This record gives sequence, C-alpha cells and structure tokens, in this order.
Amino acid sequence: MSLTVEHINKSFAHVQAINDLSMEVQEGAIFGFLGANGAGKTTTMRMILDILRPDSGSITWNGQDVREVPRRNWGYLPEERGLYPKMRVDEQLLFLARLNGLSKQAAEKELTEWLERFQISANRKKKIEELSKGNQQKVQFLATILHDPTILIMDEPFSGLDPVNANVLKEAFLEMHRRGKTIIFSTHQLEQAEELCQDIVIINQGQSVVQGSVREVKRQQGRNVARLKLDNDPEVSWLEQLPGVQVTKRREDYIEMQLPASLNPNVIVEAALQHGGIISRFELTEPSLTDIFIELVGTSSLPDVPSAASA
Amino acid sequence: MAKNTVGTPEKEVAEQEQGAVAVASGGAAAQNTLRNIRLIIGREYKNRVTQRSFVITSVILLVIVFLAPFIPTIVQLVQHGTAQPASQTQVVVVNNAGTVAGLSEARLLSSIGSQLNGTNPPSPAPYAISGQPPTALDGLRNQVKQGTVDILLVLDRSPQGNLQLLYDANADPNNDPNLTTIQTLALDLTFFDTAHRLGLTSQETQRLATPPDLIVVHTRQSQTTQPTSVSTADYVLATAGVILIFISIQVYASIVANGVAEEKSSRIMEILVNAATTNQLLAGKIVGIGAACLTQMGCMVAVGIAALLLQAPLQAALFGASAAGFSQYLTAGSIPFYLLFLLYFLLAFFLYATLFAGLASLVKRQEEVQSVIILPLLLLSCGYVLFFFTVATPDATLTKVLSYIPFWTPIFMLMRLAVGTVAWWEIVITVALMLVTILACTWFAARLYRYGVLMYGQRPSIGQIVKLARMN
Repeated sequence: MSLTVEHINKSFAHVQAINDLSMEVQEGAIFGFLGANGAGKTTTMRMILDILRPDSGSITWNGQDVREVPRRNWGYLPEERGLYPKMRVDEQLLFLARLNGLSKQAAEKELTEWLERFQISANRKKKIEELSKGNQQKVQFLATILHDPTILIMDEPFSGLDPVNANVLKEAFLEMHRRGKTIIFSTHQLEQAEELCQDIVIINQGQSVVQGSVREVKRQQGRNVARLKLDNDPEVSWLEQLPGVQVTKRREDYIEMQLPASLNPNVIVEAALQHGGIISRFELTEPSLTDIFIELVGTSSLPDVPSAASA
Repeated sequence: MAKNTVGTPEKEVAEQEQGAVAVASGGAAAQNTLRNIRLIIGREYKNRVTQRSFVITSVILLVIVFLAPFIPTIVQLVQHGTAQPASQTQVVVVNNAGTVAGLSEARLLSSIGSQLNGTNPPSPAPYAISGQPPTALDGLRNQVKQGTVDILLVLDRSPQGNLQLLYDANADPNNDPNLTTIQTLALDLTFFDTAHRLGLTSQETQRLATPPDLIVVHTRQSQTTQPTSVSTADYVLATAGVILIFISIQVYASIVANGVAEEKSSRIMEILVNAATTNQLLAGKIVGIGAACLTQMGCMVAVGIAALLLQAPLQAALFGASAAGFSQYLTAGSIPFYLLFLLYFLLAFFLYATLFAGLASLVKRQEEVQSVIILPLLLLSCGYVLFFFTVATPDATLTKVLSYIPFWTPIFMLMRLAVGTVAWWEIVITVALMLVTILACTWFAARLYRYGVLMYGQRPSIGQIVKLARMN
C-alpha cells in the first residue's frame, strides 16, 4: 500500500523540469518533499494529482494508475493560495466539499466541526478577502481536507504562518495522520520536516538527491557532528588541523564541526586535553536536515528561509 | 508546455484513449459529470446575481427600460398641451367669380372645407376656412407674407368665363405641404363649375365623375423584392433587436471571460481541476453565467413589455380613444420573431462566450483579459457596423451572404426577419451552421482552457495557441 513514483520525466519547452525521479510514499506516512525553489516540487505534485502528465514513467497508488483513482481521494493545497476572494467562507467550503462528492448534509456537518476546531466559527459568514492571512490559510487547509480525502498533497502548508497558527495547523496535520491519511508536503522549514516526517526526499534540479527515513538519510551522510566549547580557548585554532575535521559553525556557545564516520570522536577530546583546554561542552549529534540539505543542494540554492534550525 | 509535444499520432491516440478511460472509470461517471456541472452552475449563478455591481447595473437598466416607453407619451402630452393652435392651417377664400358650380357663398365655403378636411374631420379640423370680400385682398396678401394667414385662395373668372384660382401661401416653394391638396381642390372646383355651366344635371355630373373601371394585371413578377411598404415599426424593431444583441453579447461574454481570468489569477483553479474536469468547469461557467445574464435580460424584456403595454391605456386616458398607441412596435413583430430573437441570442452567447472563455484562460491577470478578447470582439463589431450599411437592403445578395456567416448570423437574420423576407429553410440552415461553429469553438476553447488555466508563464503567441489547440 503505497504511492509509487517510477522514473518520471517532464520537460517544459526546452527545460527538463523532472529527470528520472522515483520515490515511494508508504500509506499513512507523513512524507516530506524537500528541495530548493525551482527544484521541481510543485511540478511533481501536480503530476501526482494528474493535473500535469509526465512525459514518461508512471505514478501509481496501490498499483492503480493515479489517473484512475477517484478524484475525491485526493486533497490538494496549492502553493499559491487559491480561493474565491469574494465568496463567503461557508459557501466556498461547502461548494468545494460537494464538488468533491460530499452530500450537502455531510459537508455542513464536517464544516461546523472543523471551523470549531480551528476556532474560526466567527468567520463563517465572512468573505475570504476580509480574513487575516492566517485565517485564510486555515480555510485553505479546510478546503483541502473537508471531503475526507485519503491522500493529502500540500505545497508549503506552513509558509506565512505565525507560530501560534502554525501550531494549530500542525495539530490538524497530526490529526489527519492519526486518521490514517497519507500526507505528502513540501516545506522550506526543514526542522518542521524533521519533526513531522517519517520519510523524506530531497530533490535538486528535478532529480532525487537523497531519500528514505529521516534517520537513514542522516546515516547515509556517513558523518557525525560534534559540538565543542573550551572555556579558556574560544577560538580553538588547532581544530581545523585535525585530519577529517571540518568546522561548520562558530557560535558564542559552541563550535560545530563535522567528522567523517571513520574518525573516533575521542580524538577531539584528546587533542583538547593535550592543548590544555578546559572542556565545558562536548556533544555528538546527528547532522540536521538543514546541514544535509545545504551540503547536497549547495549554497547556491538555499531555501527561502535559511532556517534558524541550527540551534 | 507548448513545445514538448512532438508526439507522434500514435501517442496522441493512446493519450486520448487514456483520457477516455479516466472519464469512464466508475459507473457513476456520467452522473458525477452532471452533478459537478450542476454545482458549478449553481455557484456561478448565485455568485453573479448576488454581486453588488450586477444588482446595481440590473436596477439601473430596469429603470431605463421602464421609463423609455414613456418618452413618446410625454412628448405627445407636451405637444397636446402647447402646440394645438398652431397646428390649424388658416385658409382665407376671396371669391371674385360669383356663383361657382351653382353654389352660394356659404355653401361654397363649407364645400371647400369638407374637400380640405375630409368628410369626417377630427376636432379641431386641420384647415380653418373663412371667406373675405374682394376689397380685403391687399391686406390679406400682407397677412400671408407675415404668416398670420397660411393660405389665400382667390377665385376669379377668365374673359371666357372659365374658373381661375390664385393660390397664395406662406410656404417654401420646394416644401409646400398643402400644394397637392389645393391642386386637387382646384381640379374638383373647375370640374363641377364647368359641368354646371354646360348645364348638366347633377346625375349627369355624377356619372362624369365616376372613376374609370380599370383592372390591372401584371403577368411578370416584381423585379424588386423590396416590400412595398416597410413600416417604421419594423425598422425600429430590427435596430433595437440588433443593438440589444450586440451590447448584451459583448457584455455577457466579457463577464464569462473575466470569470475565467478571476479563477485563474486567484489560483482556485488548481483546486478546482482536482475536483472537476476542465470541460465540466468550462461548461458550468458558461451555462451558469449565461443563466444569470438571461435572468437579467428576461427581467428587462418583461419590464419593457409591461411599460409598453401601459402606454395604450395611459394615452387613451390622456388624449382620448383616438390617440395612436406607441405599443404598435410591440405588436409589429409577431411571436415567432421574439422566439427567434431568443434563439439567436442564445446561440450567439454560446458562440462568443466559449471563444472568450478559451482565450481568457491564457492570461495571467484579470487586467489582461481585454487584450485577448479583442479579436472576437472586433469580429462582432464588424457585423454590427455592417448592419447599418445593409439595413436599407435587407433582401440584397450581400445581406443574405452575411447572414450565413455564423459569427454574424444573429445580427443579419434578425434584421432580415424584421424588415426583409426569410424562408424557413434559411433559419434551419443558419441555426445548423451556428451549432456546428459552436461545437468547433467549444472544442477549440476546451483545449485552450485545459492548457491555459494552469499555465502561468508568458502568454503564448497565436502560433502557439493553434498548436495548443491541436495537441491532446
């Protein structure tokens, strides 16, 4: 039971947007779809939804071509928000839910329940253009899930939300996960992907760079990250002379470095003691997704939000 | 998206088959299609008729349509009130001829009066007759010059005793409305006077005056098909109908185009295409907006007819039963004309609305709509302009040819129906031609729409548009 994308290609004019991309999303999983701007995330999502068709390759849900999967099984939240600005919230959501196959009564029941959950019942009769951006985003989210789809495809669902609203949305996200929905979402906020996703794929220029479970991806990088703080020597100038050690960050509270998997981290402690350093902090961590992302995709195409995830 | 279609014919066929499979999957597919289209129609209709701008325009239009028929009545009322005395022509008769046709002075005047005014004159009569003695002649000539007397008629006799008439009028020699009437009067007076002087009895005179018993038979059919009398009412009907069609098609099809562009620019299209097919969306949009526009038009027509019907009783109350009702324009066209008007209007709406929708799907922002729909708009305007050049010759070959061009059929067929002659099979053929064209335009627009609604790049050139339409 999974969504399987196999060797798809897609070109626009003379630009190859997607190049032999394959990936697998397990049913019920939250799947993070990561990549820089223009990497081909939206194009791939549209192909999964059969809005665009790949030039070659296949996309199947449980072995069935996605073109034949009934439309109401899909929920799509597009990157550029799309609702009728002059239509009332309830009319709009009822229209979309019914268009997706819900009966009028069922749609109204769902609507009332979800507006309550999102604490926007007071805005029920307002026009979309009268709502704040956060509330618009909530309505957009409701437009995606109200008809109870099996697979949710969300393009940047968290962008432009304040922390409070982001949290409300995250809760809804997890609620859908508990209900067994398969969720594919793209994001620039990598710490969110790290927090929510079982599996991820990072794509760059239409090609898969790395994919698998978050832990696998980190392990695949074949390196550890160490953080060191010496009370009497904030610079630790000797650190970069150690073979294989690469300093990635110098902060007030620690220095972060990458170590090849073959290097025993004890070497650093020994070196520090040899240099007479007083160690106030030494820890080993996995590389964050941000680090991996930047390393794989390159600094030339940083995500929109150079994430504050390094802390 | 446009250029990646180097697809071989086999591939195209294969894709079409897959498309067909997607549509056919699930037994309830057709039912779903209807359900979806109904939902979309409902949304479009409600959205349109509840929009404030739409409501305001409707109210303004209804007020105009309601008030317009009152204008002739008001004009008539004003004339009725002020211009009454001036409308009577003052005729002064000076008789130097003695007894004319054996009639005394008083009977002569009343005879002239009944000749000029007819046997059963309205009140007041158009001509006021009075007699003056010959001595007043010079003063009367001056009065004619000054305009206080309109017509001076002097009866005299030649040395042979023949009746001579002098007609002195304060009128333009090229535009004298009374000349013909006076000529007839002179002819009659001379005839009866001569008969009297010849000593004929009144029976003999009557027999002489009997009109000839002439029967006219033409064995060749008339070469000019122009009907002998095309009434003003028919021209008013044709012009009003064509103007209404031109303006409403332009306005209503533009509303469709703007609706398409609005959905695209607000990006709701991306959600909609996931829930419904582009064909469903296109059909729902056109029918929904069309229904809203028809509602507006229906209200306008109903209010207009009601206001027209009000005029007859209103005029009767104001001016008495003899007043000519303006509502003749309403009855001038028969019921079939109105039904055909509706039919051609609907066909024209679908023809232009599909084209407008397809083209509008190519633009990114609503403000750019005008620049793509200009082409079909120009096409429509050409027909509208040509109408005014051809309305005088509704049965000319040129007009007939123009009425077979589907984009102009509604304009020229309406004109020919109102002021010309149309055979039933011409209606059948033109409607069939329009239906075929609508199908072709729908095919074209559906393809444009399908690729256009999700394309946010640069607007394609005309060459690319054709290419887009041909790929599938």
